[in-house]
Amino acid sequence: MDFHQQEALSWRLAGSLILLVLAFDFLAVFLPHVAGREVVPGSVISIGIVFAAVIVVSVIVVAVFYVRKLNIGVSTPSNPGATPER
Amino acid sequence: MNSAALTFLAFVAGTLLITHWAARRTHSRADFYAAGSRITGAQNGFAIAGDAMSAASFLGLIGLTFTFGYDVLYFIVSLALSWAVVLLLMAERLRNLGRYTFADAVCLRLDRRSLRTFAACGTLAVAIPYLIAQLVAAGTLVQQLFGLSYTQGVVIVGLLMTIYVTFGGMIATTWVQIIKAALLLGGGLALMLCVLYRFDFNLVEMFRLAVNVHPRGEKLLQPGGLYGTDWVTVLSLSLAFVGGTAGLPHVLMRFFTVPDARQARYSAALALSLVCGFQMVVFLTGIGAIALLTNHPIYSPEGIQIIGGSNMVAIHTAREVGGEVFMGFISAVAFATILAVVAGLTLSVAATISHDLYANVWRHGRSNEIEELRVSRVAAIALGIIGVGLSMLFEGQNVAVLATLPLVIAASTCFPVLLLAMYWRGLTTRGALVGGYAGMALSVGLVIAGPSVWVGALGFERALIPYAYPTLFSMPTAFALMWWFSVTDRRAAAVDERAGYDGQLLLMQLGPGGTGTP
Repeated sequence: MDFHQQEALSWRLAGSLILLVLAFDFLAVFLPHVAGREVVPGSVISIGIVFAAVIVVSVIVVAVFYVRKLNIGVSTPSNPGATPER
Repeated sequence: MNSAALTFLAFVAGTLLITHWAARRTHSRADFYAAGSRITGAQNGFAIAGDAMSAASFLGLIGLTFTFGYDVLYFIVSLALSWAVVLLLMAERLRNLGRYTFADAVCLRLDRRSLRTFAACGTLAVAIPYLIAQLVAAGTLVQQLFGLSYTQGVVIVGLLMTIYVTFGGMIATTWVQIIKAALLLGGGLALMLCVLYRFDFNLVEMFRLAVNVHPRGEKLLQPGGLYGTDWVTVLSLSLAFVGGTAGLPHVLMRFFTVPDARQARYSAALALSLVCGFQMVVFLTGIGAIALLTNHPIYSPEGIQIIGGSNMVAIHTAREVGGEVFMGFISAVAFATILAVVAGLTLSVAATISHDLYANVWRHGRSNEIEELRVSRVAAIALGIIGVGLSMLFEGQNVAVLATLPLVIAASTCFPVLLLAMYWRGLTTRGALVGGYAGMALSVGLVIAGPSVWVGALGFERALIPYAYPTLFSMPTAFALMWWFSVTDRRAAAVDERAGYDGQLLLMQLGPGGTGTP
């Protein structure tokens, strides 16, 4: 994966997660009755809570996917001692 | 001596030994600011997670969950997103571009002196309120936990943070964070498991009990307890977390402690996973605390009016599920958390004063390492004295604003400049400075005019603006001004700055050694 493909992947993943969080925010603000509805009748736990859990898990999954995809096959670390004076 | 004091003394003794060890390994500027870039990705992941898991995110969020329920999820999802942004958009490029402070990455192709001055102002504006809030919290906590006075608590924390940074630099600060993160994660997880054990690990039953006893009833698990349907505040909060986390100088400089971009990515992903997991632990513990503590004759005899305030919910829960010894352990971990975070803040301020202001602005890059290190250490000592002094002045004050300011300022100041410097060829020095300073002034001004300061601290009846988090106004303004003053910049220097992006792109791609990660 070259640098530009990697950049595109980063923005796509970040954009997807931003949309998810925006959806969570707007659901709670504009449709609070939907966000507060029980997932299964009698379960008490609301749709919003499950949605939040899904977002948190998605973020972790995306992180693992991204790092695995980019870090595999990379073997040559940059040399900190060669950092140019700035 | 109680268990809290014993645990805390063990932590202090261990961290002082580490500082002694670190001091013998700190010989150069690179060692002091960036631990010689020898920290592994896993170690850095724990250290970054430690920076993110402050006492506010542990004691504060458990307390907020206890009081408001659902709306704490805004904090949790925003925090999760913020770390995803750090991983996906910032970590690798920052590591490849920077050296000791985030200003290194910003001023590669822009005017060094003015950008470093701006970065130093941004760092100070973020770090000092954050530091004071932590010290005031330490002073308050120590009164309740150890029976010491407020002044003693503040002086102890101030002295220890100065010792860690002055002698051990980034190596000591990193290891203090790693130990604290492990303790906090372990303690938090143990607390949650003990709480769940009380409900036979039946989550639904725990949530049902919480709903039954809480004054908000079924509304506890519905939106609206804290922010109602105020979409401006909710979006501002999300923006503050996303931009704020990605713009906190003491978090950003941690990416310079690893050897390459690959380790930077790994450390960001590990930190993200730890922080996200911890937030879930905090939320579940808060819900369990409602079921356990509400109307409890010792902890909360009047509904959810918890003895000692909502920040004590975690401590009381620990005592309820694990007795005095466990409460002591959790208390000491909370105190150690403050200590580790203020050490990181002190180092970031010392670095910006010595590296950005002294070495590059004042001495035009002509200072040697010994001078720069001496200035760093003097800055750390001075900050310790100033921080303790200011914390004395703020004793008993509402410090909520001091906790709000850093995220809003970082989101409106450091984050826009850093993001555009890394991703937009068109950014010029003029645009970065106008937008950056405007974002800083607007965020500070709007926070002062908002309810946290205008009503909470200054005592006026009504706030000039109704929003505690004004990020929805200040961050887009900063971005818009950066764009406008950059695209209208016709100076010859602006042309060179845009052309310099090609070289920067190569550095971002290949790293400082030119052989880095693709």
